[in-house]
Amino acid sequence: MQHVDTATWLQPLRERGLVPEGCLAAFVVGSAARGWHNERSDFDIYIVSSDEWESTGYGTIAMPLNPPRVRTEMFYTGDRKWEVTYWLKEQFEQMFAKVSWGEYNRGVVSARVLAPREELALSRLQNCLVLLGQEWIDASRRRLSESAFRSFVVARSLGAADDCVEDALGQMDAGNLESATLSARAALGFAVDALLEGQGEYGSQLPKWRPNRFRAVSSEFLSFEDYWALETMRGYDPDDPRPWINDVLTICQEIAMRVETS
Amino acid sequence: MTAASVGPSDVPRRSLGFRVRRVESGLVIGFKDQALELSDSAELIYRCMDGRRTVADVAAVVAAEYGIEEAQALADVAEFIDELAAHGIVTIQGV
Repeated sequence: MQHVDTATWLQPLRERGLVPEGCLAAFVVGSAARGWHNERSDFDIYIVSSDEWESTGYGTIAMPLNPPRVRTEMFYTGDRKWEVTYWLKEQFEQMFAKVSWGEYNRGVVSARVLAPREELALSRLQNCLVLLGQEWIDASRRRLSESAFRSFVVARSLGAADDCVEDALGQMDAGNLESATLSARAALGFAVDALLEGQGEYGSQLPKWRPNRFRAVSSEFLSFEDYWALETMRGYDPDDPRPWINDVLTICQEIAMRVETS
Repeated sequence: MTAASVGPSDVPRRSLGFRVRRVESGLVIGFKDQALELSDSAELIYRCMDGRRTVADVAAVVAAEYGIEEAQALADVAEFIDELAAHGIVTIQGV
């Protein structure tokens, strides 16, 4: 388990007066929270409170929530960029309501239930480093695991994979093997995302971390080495792409047969 | 009952492009605007149709799993595969 030096993380924020009174939770998200960061990585912090953040220089990101925005602050320590995002407790309530079992069973279209930033925000609860508000985080993690969030994102990723599989098959039939190759690659990405999401390893909004996420879980039927050989197209023959495309589409089907959607 | 048209040495393979989902009750295959929900034994057969096993191989797996005669398993498996093949859900390669 990663050691969290809470005081060191909070100091730059407190020095700049960026931790509001009545803060319910503050947590590190993104690559730093998972130990995947490097010298060039930004540090991303989420702060949750009951009142909207006020300052003279905040930024704003539009959200399909009420209020329809989150506010942000950005600063540097040396070359390191920090971005602080201020969420309202009510906004998390609204996001949880969007991924309730009631909504899932009502047949709400998975692809449209959450905006990418909303999905990322809920995903990040899972692996954040808690600086303040452990109780709020624990309760939110419980709500996330009891919600239909997993089912929504799995269904969304499988649906996207299916669309790409259909494209690839149609393009192969038409002899357009270059497009079919790209469609198969896209299908593989979505299908692997579904496989990982099925095991609670979220974050498909950021495909650059897919190998890290794959390593973080164990898959009985697809080893990391086999996945990586497909992702890096090791068996691809430019003179005869059909076998590789068919292999990839078959893996996508096998993933769909294994990942539980409910 | 109609006699099955697939033979023991035919090699069935699941067709690509059909939407497959694992739900609480089992495996469901999207077929046009319908959902074909597979029983446990039907799922076992469907999973075995990997383009490598023959119909006889699949029947042997089913016979072993359910403790039935291989001849009976072969007849049941062939009939089910015929049904799926008629809808294009599996394709058959002769050997």
